Amino acid sequence: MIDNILVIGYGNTLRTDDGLGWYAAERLAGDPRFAGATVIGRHQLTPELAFDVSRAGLVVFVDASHGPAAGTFTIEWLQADAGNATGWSHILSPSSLVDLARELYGQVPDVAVIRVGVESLAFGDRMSPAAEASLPGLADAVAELIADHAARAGTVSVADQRRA
Amino acid sequence: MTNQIVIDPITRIEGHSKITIHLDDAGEVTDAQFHVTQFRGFERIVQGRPIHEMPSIMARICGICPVSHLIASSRACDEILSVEPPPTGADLRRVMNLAQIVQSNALSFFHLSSPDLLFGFDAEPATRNIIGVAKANPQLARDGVGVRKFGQQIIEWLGGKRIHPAWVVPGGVDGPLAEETRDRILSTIPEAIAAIERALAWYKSELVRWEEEAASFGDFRSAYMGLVDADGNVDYYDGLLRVMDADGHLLADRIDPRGYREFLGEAVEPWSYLKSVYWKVLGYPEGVYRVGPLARVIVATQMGTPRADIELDEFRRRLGRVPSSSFHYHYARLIDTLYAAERIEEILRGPDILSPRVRSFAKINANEGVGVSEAPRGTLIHHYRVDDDGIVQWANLVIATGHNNLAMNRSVAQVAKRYVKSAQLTESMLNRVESVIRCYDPCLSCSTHALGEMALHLQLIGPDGAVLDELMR
Repeated sequence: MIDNILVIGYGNTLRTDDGLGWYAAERLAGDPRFAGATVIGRHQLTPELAFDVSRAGLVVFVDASHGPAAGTFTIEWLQADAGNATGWSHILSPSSLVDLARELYGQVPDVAVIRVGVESLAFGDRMSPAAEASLPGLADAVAELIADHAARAGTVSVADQRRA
Repeated sequence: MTNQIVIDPITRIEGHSKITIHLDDAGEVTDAQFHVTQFRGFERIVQGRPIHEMPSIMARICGICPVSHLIASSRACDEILSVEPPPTGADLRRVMNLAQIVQSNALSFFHLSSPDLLFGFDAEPATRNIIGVAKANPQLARDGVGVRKFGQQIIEWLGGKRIHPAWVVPGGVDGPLAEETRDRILSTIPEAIAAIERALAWYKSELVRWEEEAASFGDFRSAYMGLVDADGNVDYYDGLLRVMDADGHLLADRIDPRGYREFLGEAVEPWSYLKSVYWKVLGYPEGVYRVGPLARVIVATQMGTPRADIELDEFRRRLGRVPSSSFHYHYARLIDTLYAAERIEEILRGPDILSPRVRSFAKINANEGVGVSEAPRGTLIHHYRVDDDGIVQWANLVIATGHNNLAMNRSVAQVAKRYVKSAQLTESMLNRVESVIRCYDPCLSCSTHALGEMALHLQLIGPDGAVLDELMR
């Protein structure tokens, strides 16, 4: 069920590689493998996304990170009951956003966070070559996640499997 | 010996700041100051840039209210081009500006302030956030999400994206409104209005709880300023300025805001990057006035839409014609939001809203332009001078938060004197000091610009508190 997939790429496109999530969202939105999915780019995660998150079966967040080596990425499945909500101003983390969705709408999707290693967060409106080069592999990884999720749909949710 | 309490950083506002509270030997508060500690400098950044880039550059001032800067900047550019946008182009700008007011007000009321209002100022900080609100009053939290989404969606549908849309341009807007987009927006308005009215009903039912806070959260006599139309009703796009004193007398009415330098002074202090704007006739710092939602509902004769006018009548019955406490920004902000949603519907139902004539084109026809509009936090002024090729030589920005700076400082001092006792310092005392700032919903990212040379005061302070060295300019 591709139509219950939500991909949110987020970051600041004026801080070079920090905008990777946004650029990734633009790429995925034009990729026929994701036709029917909702793919959005955001500067940051904000509370009103809780509604969209609650309506999805699978949410994939894509963000830049200093953790992995530049151009590589990690995939983390979020625990839906992690209770990561904290005080905040107008920005949320993926886990806080999912918690907010659960509190407000009583529904929690399966949630994967893809963190892509970056080279530079300096001022600039284009990515580094390493970050740029990671986009095709990133798109393949998201497609794989979605295919895996679809294969499991109708039997047991990914979240339930993780909790088992 | 003088002691000092520092709250740094202040949370749940837009930007970075701190508050210092000064105590005397007896531990009593003598004064308090609201320091804005970030510096942006857009007035210098834009020098040398071509005028057609100005709206897009200026929108980068803020990720919360970029549309406000787009509107004021484009209006300043209109003057430099010496053009009037076609009526439909102006109406579409109005819709986007109103959507901006809805989403920003929703952020302020529901997400930043409702935790204090729901749980009280003495509640545990761990629960005093939007997740806590979602647990305790899910309908209020859902309405907050819904109302902000409503405003953000309109901006996205019109401009192509929610943050930094480039659709508002000198001379009008970049493209006409599609019928499908209009109908999509119209379909979302009833639920948005219902959500705002639920929040208003809840707020009014709780108002009595905060009588004590209202009496000390910036409760002082001051003037109020906002834009009004020819009938004296609110006008957020191209109104004239009205200034009302604490007794409801008009200090100025329907004056052209483009001449702002004749009646508004701009002062800088060495302890903040935020300019203090004052009413020149009364001088500095006595010329304090307030802008924003509270000022708008005070100076206006009426709001001009049915539901908001009913709410305004009740507001005035409850609080009088000119409420003196900044605590009532919250109440006013909801009425302001209701008006904006209603007005969006009125404009979109206009017979010419789908007209393809939305932009006027011209070259440089003037060397100076001033654009003024109402942003969520109050009156916003962009003022540019360009050379004959349209290259920016000079820019001055007067941001809503700057208008309110003097009032915010007075408010902080008042709350500190009422609640802060050095011998019994508690989190709730400090939260009240922060909360009075949140009433104004300051946007510090927007408001920290240089007036000429940046006022900078560096102090090197030794462990005993003595000033070892200092540098001022």
